[in-house]
Amino acid sequence: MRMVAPPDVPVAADDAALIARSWHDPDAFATLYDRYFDEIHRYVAGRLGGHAADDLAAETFLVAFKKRQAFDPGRGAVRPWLYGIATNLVAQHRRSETRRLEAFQRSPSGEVADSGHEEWVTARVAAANAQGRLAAAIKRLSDGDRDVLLLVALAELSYEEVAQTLGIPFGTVGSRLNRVRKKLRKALGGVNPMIGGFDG
Amino acid sequence: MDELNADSGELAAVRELLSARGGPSEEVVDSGRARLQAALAVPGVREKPRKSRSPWWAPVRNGVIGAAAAVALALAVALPSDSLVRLSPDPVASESRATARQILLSAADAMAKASPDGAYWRTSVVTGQFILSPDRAYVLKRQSERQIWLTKDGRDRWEGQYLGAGPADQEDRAAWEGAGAPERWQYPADVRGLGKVSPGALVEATRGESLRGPHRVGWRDADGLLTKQIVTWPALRTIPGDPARLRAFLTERIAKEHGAYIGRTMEPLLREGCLEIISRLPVAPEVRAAAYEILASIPGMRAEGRVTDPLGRTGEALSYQVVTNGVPSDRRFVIDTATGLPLAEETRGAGRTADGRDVELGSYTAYQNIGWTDQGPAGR
Repeated sequence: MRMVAPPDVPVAADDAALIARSWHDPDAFATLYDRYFDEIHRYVAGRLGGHAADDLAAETFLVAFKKRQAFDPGRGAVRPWLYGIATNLVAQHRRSETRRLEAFQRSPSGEVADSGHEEWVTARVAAANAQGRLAAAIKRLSDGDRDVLLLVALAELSYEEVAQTLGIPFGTVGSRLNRVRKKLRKALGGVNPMIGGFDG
Repeated sequence: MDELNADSGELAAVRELLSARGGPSEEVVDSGRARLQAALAVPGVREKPRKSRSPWWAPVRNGVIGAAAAVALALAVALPSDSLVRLSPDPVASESRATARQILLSAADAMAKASPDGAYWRTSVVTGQFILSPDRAYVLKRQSERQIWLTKDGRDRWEGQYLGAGPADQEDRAAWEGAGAPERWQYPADVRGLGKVSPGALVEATRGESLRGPHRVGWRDADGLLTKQIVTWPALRTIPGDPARLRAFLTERIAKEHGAYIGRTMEPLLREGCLEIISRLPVAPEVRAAAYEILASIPGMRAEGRVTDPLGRTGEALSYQVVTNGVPSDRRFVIDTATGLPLAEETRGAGRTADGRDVELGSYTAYQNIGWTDQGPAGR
């Protein structure tokens, strides 16, 4: 689990300093790209798939660069700021995200239909169905709830970072995530989709 | 503190379901960095910091039009002098030559000032080909011209004329005279290596008569990303005039057309879509300006300096490579930076005559008019 760096440690200060420097020396911004491109790509790929991420992860840094003078270090660190831009770009592709989740609803059970051992198949089908239900549940979430869920689950941001990313109060992050978890747990119905068996 | 405590089975399940396998490829990382570095290189971005009252996470909408204006001024003094070439890049390099990105951004800026409406959407183009003669002795140049007037009431008109064919330059003329100065060229069924000519075509030296009639297919030419799909005025109005949204719009259409996995071919396809908007679609000036801005963000275009286009006009040339069915070919896009209008798109290829002379083959589309006008077709 990644910890949030408090604002006064070198790494965070360094990010913000790079942005300040890039006002006069744009090349300083390239360092932020090298530092964060991979994780931004992973986050967008988790939401929209790899090929959309190829484009939008790069776009995130272009937008960030053009918008760099609006970055206010008093309101948060650079990393959540980048995730905020990426999340805004993802929001312009809601339909792609919905289609991707719909594909997950259909495909898992299909993949296991002709497998061998009956016992194993039963467990796999249960897991696949659970994954389908999970995808359906994620799809049904409100946009704001889904953002919180995926910033925590995919980007592994802390509550504080999610709050900065979305510009919402810290407490709201917790309450949204609790609500989301409850819904997901219900959708999964006690089946752990990771191991294909039944929970406790 | 760790908020993701022991009972985070749901979160792990979400991660398991959605996480992509493996990170971005090296090509993706490099291409993204190149896009960013292109943005870093624009002189206009070196501005003084200022306070903004907008939310700090808000996405940028209107790109770099302001920066483009600054670049346009710089361009006026920075351009190297004319140099005459046919289908070759300017051989004289200049230290002060504008970059491809600066040229495209200044074209975006100029384009945004184009007339936003009129009674007709008019395009006048001259198309030409440089092809080997059937006996491979010399290079022929043949040309046609065509004008199309589109109206919102659908009573579209066209006019056109075959402009004739003949030896391309002095050396070709000598070889042509040596071959008895033929006026017609019958091409064989196998035209491989001859250039852009149909199998079995009969090419004539004489100019054809001027033809005109109702134009029934709109602006469709059936092979473009957008012209294939967007064929009505209401559909054209759905094309966004904002660079970020236009990019998303094109990306989505490309994915629809080419299947889910695009990967590295996305940028060339995006470029084709933008060129199509700039050169062919009857859309608002801001849409075409946005297309120029997207072009400016795609790596792979190189400024070649000032050149003379196939119709003898001077413009800024940008070269790039296109791979069609695995075969690369060189393209050149010539822009009039004063108006932002494209002058010509040229494709170049190599050929060899029967006696072993290396020649340039290729084709071009030269634009005489693209845009809204109140001037209609003659004889209407």
